[in-house]
Amino acid sequence: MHSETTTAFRLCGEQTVRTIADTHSALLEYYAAAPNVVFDPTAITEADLSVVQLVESARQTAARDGKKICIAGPLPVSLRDVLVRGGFLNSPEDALFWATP
Amino acid sequence: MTDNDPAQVFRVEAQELLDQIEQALLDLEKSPGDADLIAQVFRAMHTLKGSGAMFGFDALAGFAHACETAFDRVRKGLVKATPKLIASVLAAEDHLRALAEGKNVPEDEGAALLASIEAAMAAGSPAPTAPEPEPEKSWRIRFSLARDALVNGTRPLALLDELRALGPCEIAPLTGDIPNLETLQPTDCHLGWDIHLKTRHPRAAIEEVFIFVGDDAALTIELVPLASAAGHVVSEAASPVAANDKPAAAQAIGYTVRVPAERLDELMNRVGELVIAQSRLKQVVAFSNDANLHSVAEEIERLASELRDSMMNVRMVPISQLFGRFRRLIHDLARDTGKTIDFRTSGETTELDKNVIERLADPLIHLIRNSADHGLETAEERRAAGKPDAGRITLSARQAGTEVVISVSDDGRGVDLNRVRAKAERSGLLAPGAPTSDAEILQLLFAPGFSTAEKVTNLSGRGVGMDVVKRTVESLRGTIDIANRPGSGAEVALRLPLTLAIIDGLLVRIGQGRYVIPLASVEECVELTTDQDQRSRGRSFLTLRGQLVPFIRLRELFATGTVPDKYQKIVVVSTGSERVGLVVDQILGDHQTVIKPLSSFHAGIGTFSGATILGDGGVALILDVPHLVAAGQQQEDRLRAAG
Repeated sequence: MHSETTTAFRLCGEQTVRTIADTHSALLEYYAAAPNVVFDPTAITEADLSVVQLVESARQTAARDGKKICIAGPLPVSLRDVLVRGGFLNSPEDALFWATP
Repeated sequence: MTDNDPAQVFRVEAQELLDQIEQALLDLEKSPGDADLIAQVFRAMHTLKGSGAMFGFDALAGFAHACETAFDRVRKGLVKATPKLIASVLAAEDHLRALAEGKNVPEDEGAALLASIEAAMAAGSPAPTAPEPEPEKSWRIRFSLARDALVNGTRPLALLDELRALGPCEIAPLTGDIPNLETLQPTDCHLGWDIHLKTRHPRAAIEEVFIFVGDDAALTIELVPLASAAGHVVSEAASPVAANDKPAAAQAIGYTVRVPAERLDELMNRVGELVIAQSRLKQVVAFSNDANLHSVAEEIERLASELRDSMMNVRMVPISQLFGRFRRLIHDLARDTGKTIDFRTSGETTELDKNVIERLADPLIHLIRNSADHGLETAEERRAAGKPDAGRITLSARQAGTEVVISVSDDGRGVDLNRVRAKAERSGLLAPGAPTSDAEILQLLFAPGFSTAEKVTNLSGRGVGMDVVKRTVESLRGTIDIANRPGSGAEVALRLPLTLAIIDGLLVRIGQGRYVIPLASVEECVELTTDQDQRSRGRSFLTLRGQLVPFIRLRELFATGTVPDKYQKIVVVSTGSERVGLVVDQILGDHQTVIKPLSSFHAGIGTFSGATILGDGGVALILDVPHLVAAGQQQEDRLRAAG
């Protein structure tokens, strides 16, 4: 689950409500150690709203803690579909966060 | 089955939804353009589909989806709700029932039904007057889901997709409630959405999207003026609906609790045992001088009595539950017989013990079938008789004292007494030319195997039925009467006790035995002096306020072999207009009687309708008053005939 580099947190495989608790635990460890937060979603094969919610939670926590946060790499189809249908790309600010590496 | 068996929970829900669908479809036959009824069928199908899928009834969900799609087209004014389409969907509803009950249904049956619905829709040309499209309105919808929404399978994205299908949407996710990483429960749902929707669909269409979101979700739907700045909400027209702030009708439903019938029966048995124990306590206390003990015993007696009454009320259900089922029966009978039937009901709010209602269904089906098949004439015959083409069948219920009278009447040809007599003579039930009253001839209809139908149809005429109807009614401690109006119709009336469980009784002694007479039947008690007793020998009549009342010496009837008490009593009992006196040795007092059925060995004894356990552990038989009154009346008839 951890990124191959020291800076990116790699989201891979199924990222749904069935697996999100494990991702959350790993992210907590990563977040505590990382000065900034970088998500790499490219290896996601299946996504639902739970992973979007987790990233949004990290986004708010990073804002609170003064950490930089960004998404690295293109969005996989499954995640993009969730974001589009859920309206997460509708505001310029959100679109900038999610869709611009 | 356990109470928590999800499949069983779904089956109960499915039955209710299918009942709703059936009633709405039958109403729709009469008012084919009624948008509310069409929406009702659509919504119920939609809910059935959703619940079916949730509980793993995939075949049912798929089939309901097809029916829902059909009605969606009706709802949108693309297809008319023709009688053919309604009949097809009614048949599909039967199929859905079978699927819900887990019956083995042939695979091709579903396909054939769907094809029939498709054909009916194709035949139902586009509605000539499509409903006027509503003007476009702008709505602001805010919703957030229950915490467990993601875990329990709610799909928020599908809800948003459905809203998009209604019109152009601006969707803004609400992420402000998402906790920080440290406190986040990642499987909980903390998301919400704020949506601006422009649509020509009514508010109900928006509400339908959220049918399955559950009570813990928050939902507001507000009308926004089209020309105004975004976010300006019209306060007068707005009627925000939060999912946990349902309208009054929905809230009323929330105050009811669904309880399995067997739990009620179990509770009733416990109350019965309590009443018996209380009766024993009363007897024990009678020998005590302890004032405190008397006081407590009286308090317990009062509470037991109130608990009994409350329990009885819980078991009472409106007879509309039963009547509703017959609308479909009439629909099918009209189709099978080719007769136009005007079905009317009255007194649906009359309440009856749930066990009685359950057991009445089959007898009433038989009586209604008889009315439709034998009673009502064909349209040509009716016209010739100067009657309207449509034959009328009326099902009514009313409470009369401690009884409920349910009647099935029609305005058909009535019972042909000559045919009944001829048939009875042919089948040996009646000696040829034997003098018989009209009432006696009508009673022959209840003889086992008796039928006047010339040919056997799939409706009636098989010679089984009326005797079974009578037996069922009598097993419910009820009576059955036929009123015949030759040429104008017939009425079959069932008189039934309100409850089968506990009654107020009058405890009497006859010889050494104790017996219970249902208090509801008791009119009065008078003394039978030795002088009167001797004078009435051979006649057994009592003059009561100028009227002759026959009486029966129960001591003789029961062959007690004891000498009569010096001061015998006559308990005058009645069933409606007929009454009879029952001579007993002693009246012991009132008694809350928990009715226990007689064993199968004694079930054929007409004089007793059951037994009860007394406070001292003894057993008292409960007298069957209608049977005794009939015996008394026969005795009177014989004596009158003898002059």
